Amino acid sequence: MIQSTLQILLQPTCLAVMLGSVILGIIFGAIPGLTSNMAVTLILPLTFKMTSNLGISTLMSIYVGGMSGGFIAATLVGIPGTPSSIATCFDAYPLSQKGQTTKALAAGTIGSFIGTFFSTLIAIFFCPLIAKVAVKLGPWEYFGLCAMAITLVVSLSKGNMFKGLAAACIGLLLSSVGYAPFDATARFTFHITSISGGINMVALMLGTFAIYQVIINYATDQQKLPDVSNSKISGIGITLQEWKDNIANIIRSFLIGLWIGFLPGMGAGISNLVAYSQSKSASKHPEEYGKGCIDGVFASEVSNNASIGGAVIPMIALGIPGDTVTAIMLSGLMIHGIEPGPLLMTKEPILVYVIFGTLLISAVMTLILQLTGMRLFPKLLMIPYHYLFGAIAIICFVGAYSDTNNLFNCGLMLGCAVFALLMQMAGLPMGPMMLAFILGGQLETNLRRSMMMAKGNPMVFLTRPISCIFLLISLLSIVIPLLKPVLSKAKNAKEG
Amino acid sequence: MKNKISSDKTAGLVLVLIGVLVAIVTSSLKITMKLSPGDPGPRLFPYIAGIGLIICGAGVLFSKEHDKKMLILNKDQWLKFLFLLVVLACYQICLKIFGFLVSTPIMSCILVYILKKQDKVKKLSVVLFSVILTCVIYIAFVKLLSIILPVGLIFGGE
Repeated sequence: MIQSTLQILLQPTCLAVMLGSVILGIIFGAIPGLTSNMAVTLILPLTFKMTSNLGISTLMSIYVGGMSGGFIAATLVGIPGTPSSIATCFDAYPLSQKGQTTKALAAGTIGSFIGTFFSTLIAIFFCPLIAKVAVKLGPWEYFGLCAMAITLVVSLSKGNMFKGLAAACIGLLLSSVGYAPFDATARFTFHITSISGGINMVALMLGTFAIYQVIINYATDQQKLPDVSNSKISGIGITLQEWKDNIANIIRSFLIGLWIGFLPGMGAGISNLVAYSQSKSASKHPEEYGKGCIDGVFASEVSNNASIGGAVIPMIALGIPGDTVTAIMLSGLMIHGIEPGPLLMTKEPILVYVIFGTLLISAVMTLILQLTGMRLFPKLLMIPYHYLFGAIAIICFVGAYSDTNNLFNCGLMLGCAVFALLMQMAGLPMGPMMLAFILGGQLETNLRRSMMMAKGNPMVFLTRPISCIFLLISLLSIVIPLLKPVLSKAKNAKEG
Repeated sequence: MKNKISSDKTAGLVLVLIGVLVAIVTSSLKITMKLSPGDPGPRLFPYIAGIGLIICGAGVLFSKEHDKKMLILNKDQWLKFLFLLVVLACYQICLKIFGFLVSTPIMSCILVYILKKQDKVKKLSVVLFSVILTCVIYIAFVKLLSIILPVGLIFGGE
């Protein structure tokens, strides 16, 4: 198995593609406004004609590069390249302003490597164990698991829970367009043959993640970054004592990132903030945080990259995405004709090990590229937006067309960009919508299969313990945030 | 503040209306096949989505908390959004009629000029960028990956 995996991964073509993808990922991660979601979505159509191994390697390499590259803009201009680097800004930018740019960049680079590499090793160990248990799950449990994944993401909708739930309902509605499972009843197709197979996943993703971003950045004038100089960047700049002082911080942040990445929907965007606040509360010198403390950079970057391994575990072992990027990659697997789920480990073991191998190799490539190319980072932020966004718009059209060789998809993509705008205007979060859209098919299939097997008795979901636990967690994840303000108001009234 | 609250109410109302519409369309779905007696049928899932939208829309409508994260565009921003959308829609039409190789270099130039706003760009750089972008995409998709790109009606494409 290992030999076959290495034979695939060490082919010059595969290594070259991985290297190119890592570089592309770093560029997308580094530039504010561009995300690894967008990079993976843009490149997805390019992988259609590749072998599934090469295709998934490409997407994984972009994921690793993109996740790591986010700290570059956070350090140099104080703007997070991706949401996963928000906490990095708090200390990396002040460090950079103090003239210690190299130290901040090196901490980000090495922290990212530690997070990705070791979380992948843990994923390699845990995936087969979880998949073994998951094979024994029936449609009842799968329905519960998918429902739980969606509601956990919904529960993160800060502000208004109803909006998170409404976004998930829209995702379910979009997933039900086209022929229904089992009986092929046409739903919401309105005699348009191009959507009889369902809303095209690539068009939806390109429209909502890429084209929308290009248009809204133009409309709202978000295209300027401050100039940065590379004169202060040389060497590594971290002392041995600083390394020693950060061992506990790194381990704690790593475990936080891994766990949060594992939970559906709670990816690197949250883990960096949690790890940062934990690091600050556990620190002997919390007053230095926010003023250029290297510990804060390590905490944020180790945790957000550790979420990669955490998110890959449910993606491979259960077929449930851990975050939006893994959701896109899961759809990439489906497009390649591979059915994600616990049987993936037994049906496609080489592909699974190719995924792990790619993550490890990409982490090493990212480390080398970032350590040796540190002086080039300011140049990445100087790429003119009009060229970049112009190219992205054109590539989106090519991507949308090439999925089905049908220009209808390009129109659908533009429609999806308008849809994304309306969602933003209504304050509806994109995460629950996308996850519900991707998991909608599985959710419906398992629901109907369960009901048929139970001869129409819905109580079967509650009489099976694992399914009951999943559904209970689903319910609580929705009810608790809804009741929290009511309970706190009642408590305040009692005290007052 | 008033703007955000009224947008919240509008969003809630629209969600309720979409939910009602979904429920009506779902009830009129023609079911041609009846599977086993326990099967809830193809209407169940859209009903869940539709009823969910009605409940959530009502929740948003009657909620006292207002959402601070809502995006609000002013008239100028709306016009810019629609303008770029129309330009991109024109690119789709051009792809259909003239194909990828003719439409893309022209549209790349147009897009750079639109997106540059007040920045200065050299004409030669824009032309070079457009030609290189078109060639790179064409070589990567058509030559390396054998993926077909639009040929254009005037060149005999479909």
